[in-house]
Amino acid sequence: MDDFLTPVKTTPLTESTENGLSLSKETKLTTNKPITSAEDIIDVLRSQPDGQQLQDVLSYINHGGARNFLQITVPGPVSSQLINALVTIIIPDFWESLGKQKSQRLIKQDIITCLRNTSGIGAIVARLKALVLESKQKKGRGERKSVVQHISNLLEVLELVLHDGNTTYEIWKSIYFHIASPLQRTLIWKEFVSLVASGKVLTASAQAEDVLKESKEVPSVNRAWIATGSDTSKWLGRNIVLMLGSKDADDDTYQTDLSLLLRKSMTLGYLDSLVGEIICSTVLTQGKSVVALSKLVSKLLLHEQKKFIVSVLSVISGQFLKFSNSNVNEKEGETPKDISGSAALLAGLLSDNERLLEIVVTWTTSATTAGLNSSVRMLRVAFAVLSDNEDSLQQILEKNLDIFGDQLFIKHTPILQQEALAQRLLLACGYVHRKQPIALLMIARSSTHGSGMTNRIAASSPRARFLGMVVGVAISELVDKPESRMKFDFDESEKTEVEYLTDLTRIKDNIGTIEDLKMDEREPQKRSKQILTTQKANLESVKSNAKSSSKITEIKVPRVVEILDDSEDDDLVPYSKPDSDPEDDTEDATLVQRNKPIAPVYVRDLIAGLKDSENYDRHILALQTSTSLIRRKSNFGKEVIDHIHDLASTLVGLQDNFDIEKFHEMRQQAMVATLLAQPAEMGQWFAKAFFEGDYSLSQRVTLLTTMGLGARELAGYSSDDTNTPAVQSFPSKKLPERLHKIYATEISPVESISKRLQRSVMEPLALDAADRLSGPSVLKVRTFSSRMEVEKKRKKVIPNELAKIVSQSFFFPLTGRWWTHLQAYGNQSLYFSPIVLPVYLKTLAIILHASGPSTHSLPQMTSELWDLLLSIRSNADEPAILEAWLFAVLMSLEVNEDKQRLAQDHAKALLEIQGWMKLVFDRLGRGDEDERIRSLAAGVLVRCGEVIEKYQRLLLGDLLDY
Amino acid sequence: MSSITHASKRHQPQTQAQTSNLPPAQPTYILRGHNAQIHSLTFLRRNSRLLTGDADGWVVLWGVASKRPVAVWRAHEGSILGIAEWSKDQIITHGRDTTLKVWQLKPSEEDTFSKVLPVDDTAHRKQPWLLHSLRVNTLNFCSFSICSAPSLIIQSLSGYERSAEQTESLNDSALIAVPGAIESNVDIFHLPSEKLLSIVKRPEYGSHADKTQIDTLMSLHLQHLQSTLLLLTAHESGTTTLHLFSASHDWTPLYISTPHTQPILSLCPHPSYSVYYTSAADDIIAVHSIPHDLAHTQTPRVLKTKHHGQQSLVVRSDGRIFATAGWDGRVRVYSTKTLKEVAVLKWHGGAVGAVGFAEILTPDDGDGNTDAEVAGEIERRKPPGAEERRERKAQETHWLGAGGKDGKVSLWEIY
Repeated sequence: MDDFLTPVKTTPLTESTENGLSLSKETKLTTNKPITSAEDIIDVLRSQPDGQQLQDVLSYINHGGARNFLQITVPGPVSSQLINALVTIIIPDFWESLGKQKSQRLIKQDIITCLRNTSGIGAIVARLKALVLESKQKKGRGERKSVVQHISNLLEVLELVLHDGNTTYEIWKSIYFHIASPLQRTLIWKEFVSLVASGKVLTASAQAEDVLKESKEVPSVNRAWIATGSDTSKWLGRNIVLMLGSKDADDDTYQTDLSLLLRKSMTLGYLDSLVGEIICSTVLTQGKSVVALSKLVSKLLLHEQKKFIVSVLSVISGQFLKFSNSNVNEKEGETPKDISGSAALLAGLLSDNERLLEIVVTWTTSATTAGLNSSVRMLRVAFAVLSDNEDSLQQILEKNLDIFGDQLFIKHTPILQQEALAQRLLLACGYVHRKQPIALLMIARSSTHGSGMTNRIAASSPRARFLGMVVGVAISELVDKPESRMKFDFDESEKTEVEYLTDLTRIKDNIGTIEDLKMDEREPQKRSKQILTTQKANLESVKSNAKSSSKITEIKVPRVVEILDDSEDDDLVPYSKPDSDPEDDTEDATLVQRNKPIAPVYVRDLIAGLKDSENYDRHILALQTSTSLIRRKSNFGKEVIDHIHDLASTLVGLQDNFDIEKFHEMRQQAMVATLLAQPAEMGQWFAKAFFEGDYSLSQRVTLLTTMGLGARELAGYSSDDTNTPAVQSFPSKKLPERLHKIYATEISPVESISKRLQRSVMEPLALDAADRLSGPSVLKVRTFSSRMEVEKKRKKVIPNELAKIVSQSFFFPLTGRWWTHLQAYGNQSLYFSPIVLPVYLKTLAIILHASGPSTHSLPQMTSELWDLLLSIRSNADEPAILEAWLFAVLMSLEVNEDKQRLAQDHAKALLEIQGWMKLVFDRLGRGDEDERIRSLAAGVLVRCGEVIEKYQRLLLGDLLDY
Repeated sequence: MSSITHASKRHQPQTQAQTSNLPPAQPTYILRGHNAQIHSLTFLRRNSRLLTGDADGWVVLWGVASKRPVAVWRAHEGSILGIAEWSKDQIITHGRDTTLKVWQLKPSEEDTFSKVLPVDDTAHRKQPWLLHSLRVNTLNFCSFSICSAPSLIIQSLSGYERSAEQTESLNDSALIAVPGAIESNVDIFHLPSEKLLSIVKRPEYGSHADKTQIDTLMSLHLQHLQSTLLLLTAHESGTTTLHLFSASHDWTPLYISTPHTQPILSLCPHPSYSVYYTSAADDIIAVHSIPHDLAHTQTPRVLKTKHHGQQSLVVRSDGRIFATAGWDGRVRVYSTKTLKEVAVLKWHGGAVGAVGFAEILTPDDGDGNTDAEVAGEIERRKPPGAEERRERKAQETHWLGAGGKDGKVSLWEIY
């Protein structure tokens, strides 16, 4: 590979300044870890570098000594490995967390520079495609989310890689410089062109954008321009013009390569956008590249040329010409600027190329296209260009006259077209007459004209007749002597129009210069001009910054003092700034923060950040990013899996030292994310932590909440929970139940879920009961349009990930340990406290409900739960506990859809519950507080009753044995 | 642990006539020796010695030519606030242990002191001879200021009731200004008598509520000019004042200005005493012209540097440039004439706490000068030849020393 590099090495690019810089960088790097080969770089990239290392390596590749052994633009095994590492490892890791800070912007810039080449773009496109496919396959929510995140990052990178108007030229140049063999050059260039211009980038990014739009996880995606055909075409247009303007433009291979790019770009299907951008940009470059452009166009195939020129014509009429058909305000004999300028542009483009002229001639004669969607002005431009070409002018005239007099044409063509034709005809007459009066005379005397006029006058449509008469008069005015001129009596109302039309024969437009077009620029040009002038603006803003004045507060007379008005010269030659010298971005000295932490990108950084309870910024940043990072990483590499226990225990043990807003919510979400990363393992872990860990009540409640929320998300219910506030107030700070209801607005997630579930179960029961009270159902009016209702009630099929693992990882670990703890500590343990127990029971119920009626281990779970519930009947005096108890029973009855099995397997428990329920129901007072519990109890009674009634015989049999 | 390193010899600034900018400056030497952050730094004895003081109270006297420690001792129990050279062989250190000490350290005695750096060993060492120890207020971080003064001024300062023989003892002596017992006031002591001669009160300024409040002193400077004494003070509120004392008038505040929004960190007058500079925790460097009477006060010029927290502002003895030590780890060098930033010295990782210039020696100012005698003494003890040339070269180099939070001192050759 080294021999490819020789040309670069011999150019005396490196100034001593630059040399010094790169040397110092090298020394810096070597202190870390010596990088002597491309493999080292790849190793660094693969070994989870931190921000600083990454920055060093990247700048080493781009600016430093890496040029000696690595040319990232040259495709090869090493550079492709490197690019691959960047695309698949570094970007997913870092992109998200890189912010707007200067150093971080530099990293971004460096990444983009590395990828700005054929293989880089190819790698991104391939990766995007793969990710899009993946996102369609994956069903799991978390996985999907991480994929979506990666897609959105890559899309952003791709956009930035291509962003510049100079991109294609840079890539061409790098290919040309770094690769010696012409064959290889062509191949790589073709590859690049097929990527950007034949729609590979476009399709890949459009697909990616679709995925982003479908998934609502990534909020408010801006429409990427690379995913929009017209924008991509515009971008290509800008690039082509910039390439045209380069100094290589005379090179033969360059032109071939460029024409390849143009041809491919034209196939993209947004011809007008492409050509529009090319033309506008050409005009902006003072028309210097017009010659180059016309040369380029002449290299195209014939049909492509035609397409191009026709498109140019429509662009001219759409963007440069004023929209007016009248020429009243213009002085006689003077060509308006827009017309002369456009004519210059067109003339420059055609540059006496016969074939291209032919295209314009055909355009002006074809009946349908010309003059219809463009004004007379466009025609004037065309004629101005053709004015020197007598043959074609005559040809146009003859052809148009032919059509004009055609009977069929008169009869069937829309009047609008006929008008346009008349205008063309009259213009052509004027030009031909000035060049060759004889020729016009010949035509005027020809049989074509005669019969044409006859046909016109015989036409049934007054308008067609009118046009015929005007044309006849106009031609006659030109060729005949004043006494023998054709004369018609036109109405007074038609006079102005006649005058206007006959005036057309006197129009003579000159070809101006392209400069004329710049006099009145329209919107699209302004935009592209902005791009060109941004640099200038930047410079100016820098200047104005330097001159910033400051207002000072002073006791006597406050006044603004302008400094740096250096009238006197200084003999001190300033030193250059060191490699980094950031300015403080805030005015307030108290807000200056020099060691801004960056968001953690690795799980180990995250854990360190969470544990760092001294550094507020780092801590809160870690906490804020935790959920998204864990979710993003849970299916990416082994990071989360490796650290999961550490992570979970850190999260559980996290203290709100800084009084952080939404602390509990963020911690809760992070814990759920951790649980979901490895549900099978972590379910057990959290259950174990609940019972055996040395945690406070509040932490235990959080653990339970995590399991409940996690179970629901796994089961696919999470969308219902997103709107619940996850605020966890400290449990023991609660007011008494009754007052709490009044004053405390926030409720825990478990509470809100259970409320919702409860309502969904109770409402049908209550409706049913009300229904029954109002009379026998036979007598009631039935609506027959119940199909919709039935459809609505049909359950959505959600792949229930939870069902597979619920018993082993969630449910049994929670219930099993209960028994061991009961044995060890009796019923005075803290688990019986009215704070923990209700949450515990409700969590169990929620998990049971989430696992769904078709879970394999449902019978075991039901019996476990019921055993547990029956055993704590004596503790259920507290209303909160009782309520949770009832809720759990209700949920288990609800989930067990197979009532027969319920009656068979759990007959005894069922009867016991029913019996105790009756007792409870009777015991409950009528108080406001008890109302809810009463209704729950009633619900349970009804449900039990249903089962017992239906399978009484079965139960009886069971009891008979007993 | 090595005490010196040739930091990056090959990056020494190469002068390039054709370029408008010099390449970024690189440190010439790094002196590693302190454990704690450097608080104060000054060149002594015609640039042949460099004295640095750190936050643990240790001071190190370095040989500038050899780049090696010459004497190391622990001057204070608290952190060093300021150090200065006084007369031939006396060194004044000001520490947060509420003392200001005057040490006698003769060049001939240097060999008897420990040369083990605090970074290697923090055991107790032999201290130089302690001439004076003043009990002063050191609750704020304000360093002291010293100037010599003729006896006439001292007499009028101490009041007219002093008798003749007391006046005699005041001859050939110095005035030391330190923050007073009330933190916005300045106490002026006399050496060698160690007497408190005068208390300069803060003038009333600001809104009514502020007038009675304490505005902690952050930096001060005392200088004798002809028949007057000039006292510059800078306060926590961002206010700076200029007091003038003459035999006919008691202390009069001539000039008050509040160009800063944050506490002023340092002030330093131009050697010509036409202007003085203040830098603060905000991103402003203010240039105040020194008036000679009330009528000629001017508004300060303000330079917005966009770099918050620049301290230890110091003007070089030739008055061409001044430098600040930045909390962002960069030493910034400005031209006094244009106030343009002419160099940004970046080497320290953390904040830089102290910066100092070597004196610019003119070839002929050696004779008759006390400093020259000291230098001559050193030279006489050294064998002539290479050693002597090295010494001379080190003295003539235009050093800039900067001490950082990391306890390291970087030496640069600037202009």
